[in-house]
Amino acid sequence: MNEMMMQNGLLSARSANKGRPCWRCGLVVVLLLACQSSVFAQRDAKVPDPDPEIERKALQAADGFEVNLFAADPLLAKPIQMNFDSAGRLWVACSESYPQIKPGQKANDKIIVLEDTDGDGKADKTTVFANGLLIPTGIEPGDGGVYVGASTELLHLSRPEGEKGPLRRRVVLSGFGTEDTHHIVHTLRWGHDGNLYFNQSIYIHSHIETPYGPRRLGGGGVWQLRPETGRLEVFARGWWNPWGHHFDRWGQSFVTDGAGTEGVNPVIVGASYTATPREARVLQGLNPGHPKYCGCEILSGRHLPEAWRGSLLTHDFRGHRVCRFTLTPEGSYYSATLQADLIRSNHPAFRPVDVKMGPDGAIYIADWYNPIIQHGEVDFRDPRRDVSHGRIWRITAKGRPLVPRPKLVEDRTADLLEALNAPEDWTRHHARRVLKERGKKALPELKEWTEKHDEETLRLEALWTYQSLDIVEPKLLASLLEAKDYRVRAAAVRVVSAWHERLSDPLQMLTPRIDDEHPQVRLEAVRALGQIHDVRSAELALKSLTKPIDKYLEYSLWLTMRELGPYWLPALQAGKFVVPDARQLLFALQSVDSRAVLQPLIELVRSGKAGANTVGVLAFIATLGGPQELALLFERVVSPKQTVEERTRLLEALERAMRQRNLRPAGDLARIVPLLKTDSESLQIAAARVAGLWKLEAARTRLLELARADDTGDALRRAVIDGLAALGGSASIEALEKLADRDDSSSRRILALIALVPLDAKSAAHRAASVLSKLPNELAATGVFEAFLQRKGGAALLATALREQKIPADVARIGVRTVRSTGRPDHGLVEVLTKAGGLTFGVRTLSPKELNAMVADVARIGDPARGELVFRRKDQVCLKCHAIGGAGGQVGPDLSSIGASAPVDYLIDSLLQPNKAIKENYHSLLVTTKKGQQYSGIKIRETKTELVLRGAEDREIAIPTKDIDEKSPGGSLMPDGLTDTLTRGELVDLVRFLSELGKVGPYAIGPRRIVRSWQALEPTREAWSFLHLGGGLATPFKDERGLQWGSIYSTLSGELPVTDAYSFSLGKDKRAVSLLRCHIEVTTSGPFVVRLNSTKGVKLWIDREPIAVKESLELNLPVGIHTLTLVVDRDERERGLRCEVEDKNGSPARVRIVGGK
Amino acid sequence: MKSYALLPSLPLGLIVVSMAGAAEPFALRDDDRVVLVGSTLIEREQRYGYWETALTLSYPDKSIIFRNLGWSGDTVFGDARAGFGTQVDGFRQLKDHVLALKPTVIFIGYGTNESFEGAKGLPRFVKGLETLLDTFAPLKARIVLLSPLKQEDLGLPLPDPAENNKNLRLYADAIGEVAEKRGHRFVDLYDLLGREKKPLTDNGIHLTSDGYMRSALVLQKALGCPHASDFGAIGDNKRIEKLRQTIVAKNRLYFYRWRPENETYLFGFRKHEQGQNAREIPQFDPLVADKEIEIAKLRVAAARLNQPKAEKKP
Repeated sequence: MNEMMMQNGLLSARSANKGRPCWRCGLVVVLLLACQSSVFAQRDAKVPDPDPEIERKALQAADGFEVNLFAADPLLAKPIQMNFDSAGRLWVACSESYPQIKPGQKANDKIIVLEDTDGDGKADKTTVFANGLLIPTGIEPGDGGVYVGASTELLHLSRPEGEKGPLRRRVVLSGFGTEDTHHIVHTLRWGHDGNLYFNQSIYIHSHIETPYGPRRLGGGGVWQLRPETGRLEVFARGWWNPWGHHFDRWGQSFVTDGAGTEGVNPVIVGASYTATPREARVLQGLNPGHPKYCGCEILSGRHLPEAWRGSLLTHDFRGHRVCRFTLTPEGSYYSATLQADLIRSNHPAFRPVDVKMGPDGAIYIADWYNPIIQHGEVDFRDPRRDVSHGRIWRITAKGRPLVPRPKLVEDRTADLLEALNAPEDWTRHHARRVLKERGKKALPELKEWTEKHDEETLRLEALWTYQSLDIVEPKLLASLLEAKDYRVRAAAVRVVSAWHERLSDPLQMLTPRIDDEHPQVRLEAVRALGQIHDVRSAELALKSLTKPIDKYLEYSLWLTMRELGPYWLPALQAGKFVVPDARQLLFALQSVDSRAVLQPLIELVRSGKAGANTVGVLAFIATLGGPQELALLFERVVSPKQTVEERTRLLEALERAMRQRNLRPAGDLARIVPLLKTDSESLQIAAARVAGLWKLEAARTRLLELARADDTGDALRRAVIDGLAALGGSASIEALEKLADRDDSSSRRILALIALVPLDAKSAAHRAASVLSKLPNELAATGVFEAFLQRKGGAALLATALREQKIPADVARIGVRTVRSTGRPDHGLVEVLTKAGGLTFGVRTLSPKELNAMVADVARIGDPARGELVFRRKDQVCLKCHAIGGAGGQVGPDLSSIGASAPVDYLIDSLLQPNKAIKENYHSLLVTTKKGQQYSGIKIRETKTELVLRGAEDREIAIPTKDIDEKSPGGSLMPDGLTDTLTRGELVDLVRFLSELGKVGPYAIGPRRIVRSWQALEPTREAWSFLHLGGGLATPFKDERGLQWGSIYSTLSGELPVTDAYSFSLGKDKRAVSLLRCHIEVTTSGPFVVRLNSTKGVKLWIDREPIAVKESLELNLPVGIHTLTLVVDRDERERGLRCEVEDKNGSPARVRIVGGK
Repeated sequence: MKSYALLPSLPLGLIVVSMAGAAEPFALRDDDRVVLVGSTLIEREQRYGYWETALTLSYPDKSIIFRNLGWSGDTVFGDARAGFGTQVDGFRQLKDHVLALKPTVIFIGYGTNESFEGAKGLPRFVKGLETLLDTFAPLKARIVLLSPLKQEDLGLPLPDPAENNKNLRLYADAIGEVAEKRGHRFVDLYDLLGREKKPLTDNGIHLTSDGYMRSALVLQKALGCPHASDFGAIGDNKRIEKLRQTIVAKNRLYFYRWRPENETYLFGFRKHEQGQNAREIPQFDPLVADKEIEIAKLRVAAARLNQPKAEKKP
């Protein structure tokens, strides 16, 4: 019998799980590049001394603040989330079994309650409320017990018979995914509205049964639950790890992301944010390029200095920092500005993960205390993982009185109502909670209190109390919809949405708010209408277009019109959709993906009512229409009556229709051939591509002519050769072969060879050695290697062809790098290239002893300043893929805080063996198409029609979904051996530099807005002619088209070494001049300051206007992105260039610097 | 523990068990491998274990393995099992998981989630159920189809279930028809407790611990399993409780085995980083087996005490 049992035990489902086939098809692969991690697999640093006092001394608080220990191990270990109950007790979810239950181990994680009974700021009573849990990831006390998110369930734990009585476990919801134990249901929070909010992260797929039907959420997002009714909805979607969510004083939500890098995210109800799977349109956070943040709390109350109230706190848990943002309303949305840190530390185990205001007005921080964070990159059972420590820190403002702790739970209802007037969000929130838990018996007094007060803020508290109690109060609601303060009106509108099924005429209530003078109220009204499933809601929502629309309002309206599509579309078809003007109708029609909108759209175009939007509307029609609809575009393309820009855009739309949906316009397509002879290059380019895709033989002669001609520009030649390749057939192969065989070093040869690869890879391989030996510059080789690597079997063919050949060493080096950055390198080709180029290097490896020695040397002799120079060297290509402070390539992770989060041995490993541990979101995805092409890159987005990857060259690769044959996960895009050309000393310096990044000191990126991403004019033919025509640049810029700008970056100190830019020799006296530019985005206009470190040798243009340059230059620019172009006379200027943006006191201006590459 | 004296007097006549085509009465045999598959109704049974305890006690001398493959929110299409993939992947998982266990008996509990599609969704559901049964057919297992539960009317603030119940009845009947057509057993749980007032759920749709205990008896009787009349003593019997707790512990270990946390790293697209930790997962097998041995000992002892007095030999 035992035997049989064993056998049955082995017959588990796991065997079936192994070849999980889903990895090949619809999988949302979210993947990463090595070189940055939250790991601490350390050989250099010891696991720190766990004495809390040592840690406390290592916490540097902002001026005016001090830190004391509230509670520490052994009373609690590994706190994950914490929340106060209304009696002021702190409930903490603790897990020692994270990251994974061990076979034979009993799940025994705990819910701990900490109390400060004497009010001295230290916990003096600790209770284990519950144990036996498996990795509780979220906690919120309430409803006579505590809600806990753990594994697949949301539980409610209580002790109905008192503290010592038996524990009652009620499963509130089940079916949450557990695909990653730091993604499981977390960040529980009571809302101001009586709903329980909680979040899940990106790998989680939840399937929850409710009395209202099943609710499903695959990916990250925020759930909203009303426990007493069992109603569960998705409040917002997206993010990687939304580990922070809080409401401001006005009920607006803010989310932070523990794996995304966009800072603060104000939440629009129902919206989708970064990383929402399968969502084409998402909103971004306010602070792109920021580190990952965990926790979120908006500060309030008398204890804190006034300037701090309303700020948002979150943790850069990797960099051991508690960060502060100020939030500023901006149009219908917000801006968030990073301020100086509240806490910074170099203590390797300080891991702030949660932050909450306390009943005394102080700030409480949960410190997970662990040198190792994350379990994706470090072994689950790494012995250095800490499982026994944890701290709660309390931060107070020096010399400021604490807030008297409110009683609340014992208070009379009248006192609770008075507490709704408290300046502390904590007190008002908990007063509302207690009133809610008291239930309907509080109603008579609440009613009386509400009638007695006419302050809008108090009445809003009353409204939320009613909402918490789920009692509809239409009169109070109606009065607040007319409040003077727009924030109160916005909050009231959200209540209309919640109550709409029980209000007599919600649409009437919302009508004035669609026309509200404040954009945030209009946004709330638009979103509220999305909930009211009625054709009239759609008609009303569209009226918001009569007022100015910013991008968040536009998104909200688009979302609402999509949600309401099932209601207004049938009405439209029945002729019952009443929209007063074409603009509104156009908006509605372009918000849905239904073919039902095609006819009305075409009518709007035909009648001329589409006006200035005509081209955009036609381009939209091309995304849905068939051959007949595409023919409408085609007619305009061939009509000389239209402008060149319009015709080009329409051709591009037709190209997308062909690529994504394989559809051609009806009619005689050969009429496009004359366009290949026009004098507009952009039109020729678009026509050449389309002609090839449409397989228009009639275009072949002209395409060949252009391909061969010496005076064809590079961009056109590329399009023409692509066109010929798409046209296909032996004639194309022959033509491309002839071009590739020309014995010159022209780009024409290279383009032809690249185009030949998909058509006849063998023939192309045969010609590769010759082309690669005679390149205009080595960098052109990248494209050739990519072409072979992107062809199934191409790498092998190239290897065979190059086996006995010689190619220049630098070309071979580029080849090796390109092969290694595919996520699944072909080692045979690497070997051949090494030999063909006569390269001697191999992949550097270190024995454990050598590694230890290097770790020691990094600390002993490594020089971060020299290391920064190595990092910036062009041949090291670090910046091609990695940004620091948002400036640099986007292929790999931003390295701003790598030094604070990763130990030295990990850094060395990552440089030498990039595939050893790969950062979340940076795994590559390998895609093979039905046509035998293969691409690798980091997935950026996926829609119904296309998958977009970011390749190792930091270019987006769009692959039509219909062409995809297979998808599979790959490794890191970072090539092995990148550092092989470095001397040991250089490597030591480089590691030292990386290890300093983000640590307190000169290599931490601060909150100042310094331009770090620059572009320098490159010496192309167009550049020279531009500079000569520019007459020494004394006049405004003329035609800048065709100019090429390369990325260069400031050093960590913020200065740009001007010597990194190309130097043009200009004028009679041959002055050495560089042209640099950067971009700033104004989101609210007003005066602001641009500061330069010195004006010596600098001339400045803003957009196309010359500006008299000053060190402190006050500007006032309209909303939008602006270009600052600087002409630097290098003979006059010795020092580097530093440029930063500063606010001007009292000005409403919001300006950010555009980063990236 | 509360008293369950009420239980033996339940109006069991309301429970309909269709046995069309199933000539012999339901019984579990030595070496049977019983798989329970379905949505939350099935999934949560493993946490309380009353159904399994009841069925174990009905055949105390038989060696039977129970495996619970319920998954909250699931449908006959495998929606909840899709992971990162699509419904097609979900269904493949459903199929693979069940087939890998080579069950001889399968309890299937679907229909609740599908019923929200109303009458228009019914043909698709029936087709999906038939496809599922076709998929299991090669196993030649004895199949028991369970109807969804009626949504209880617990009053405000929970929703009025009247509309949902029309659909649930519709789907329950459809399952019954499929069972009849294919010669499978069908247990209609829709009117589980008939006129009994005390609710089985706390949200209208999901059985509480108490609900599982009371429904276990109903299920046992409905299937015609032996010893039903004495199972009412379950709450008072320490040995039966010990058995139940051991069954729950076994189920928990098996859950760690077949639905471990961190799938992404252990078996998914990040296994090249932490896949080495997957070696731990099969280490739950001997732990599950140990629990089965414990259960085998406990079930004999518990059943002995649970024998009706009249059958005891003097």
